[in-house]
Amino acid sequence: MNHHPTHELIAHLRGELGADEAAAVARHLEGCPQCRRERDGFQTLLASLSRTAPPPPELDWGRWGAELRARLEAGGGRAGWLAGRRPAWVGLTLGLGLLAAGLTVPLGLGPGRAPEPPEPIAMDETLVGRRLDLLRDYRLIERLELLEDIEIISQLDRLAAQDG
Amino acid sequence: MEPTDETLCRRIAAGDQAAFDLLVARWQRRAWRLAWSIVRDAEDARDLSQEAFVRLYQRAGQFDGRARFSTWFYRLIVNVCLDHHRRGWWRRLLVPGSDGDGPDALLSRLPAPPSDPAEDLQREQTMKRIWAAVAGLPARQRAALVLQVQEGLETPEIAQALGCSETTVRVHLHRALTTLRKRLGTS
Repeated sequence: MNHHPTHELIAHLRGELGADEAAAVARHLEGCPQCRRERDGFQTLLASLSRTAPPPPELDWGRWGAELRARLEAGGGRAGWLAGRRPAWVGLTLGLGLLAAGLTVPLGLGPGRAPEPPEPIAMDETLVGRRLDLLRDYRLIERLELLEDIEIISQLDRLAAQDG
Repeated sequence: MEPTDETLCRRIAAGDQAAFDLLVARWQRRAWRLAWSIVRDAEDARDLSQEAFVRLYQRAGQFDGRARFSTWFYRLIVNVCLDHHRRGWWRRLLVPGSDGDGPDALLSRLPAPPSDPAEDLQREQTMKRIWAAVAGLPARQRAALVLQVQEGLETPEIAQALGCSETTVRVHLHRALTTLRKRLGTS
């Protein structure tokens, strides 16, 4: 063994090395005062740690047991947490999906298809936008309207609860 | 004859509530002690020790009996504690000493020394210094060290509990003790 078996010293102290490996480490230690010092230091420290491990604070085991039962009845804690947040999570996903759809269509990123003829209402909006110099930002207005719809959708659960 | 832990775990997987209660009674103190030794916070340790039993209840069916129940459960506890440590990285980043790395915070969380008047004051101080230094180790090194000196696990069991190789455990222990020797000025 030419290298210093630094990572094997603790296992050697605890008698966890195989016979061959233990013999190799022992031979190295005979000729290496540096490793012997390190081994002795580890041995002293391990003994101190084993002897002085502080006990944990006292615990009210009755309360601990009651809390454990409550967590189990609540579905293990983690499932309960998710259940409480599921409606908002679903709403957020739906909103993001609608936003993505709303952005891809104006940008022409969606499936290619021929532009539909403008409907009378859309024509009115175009005229208004031109008159009010909003035509250049019409796509922005379209997205803002979509965002307003998303806000309403995300609040449907709350609104339904108020109505109910 | 008392059923073994492995038998109780199999019964829990089959829905035996009484088996779960018995296993909790057997292991609750060890789970609490190990969690506290790793996270060094009583409130967190109480929560994490309960979480370990919740996971045991949910995952008893995953215990295949190839390892001892003790090793499998130690791994549950260690993972719960290490997950908690990882989730708290932002708190340690924003609030210095919030993880108890500062010496005062560490000493303040150590249990009160025993009131035995025969206790050697110097030994008491040494104990505090040593374990305050242990609390400042990286989580996995601390876990490996606690599993060895406090729980008495051998390297192969520690490797299973930490989900790593025996070589990695040796590295963890070597680094932990080397760091402790430097901090305690005994190198």
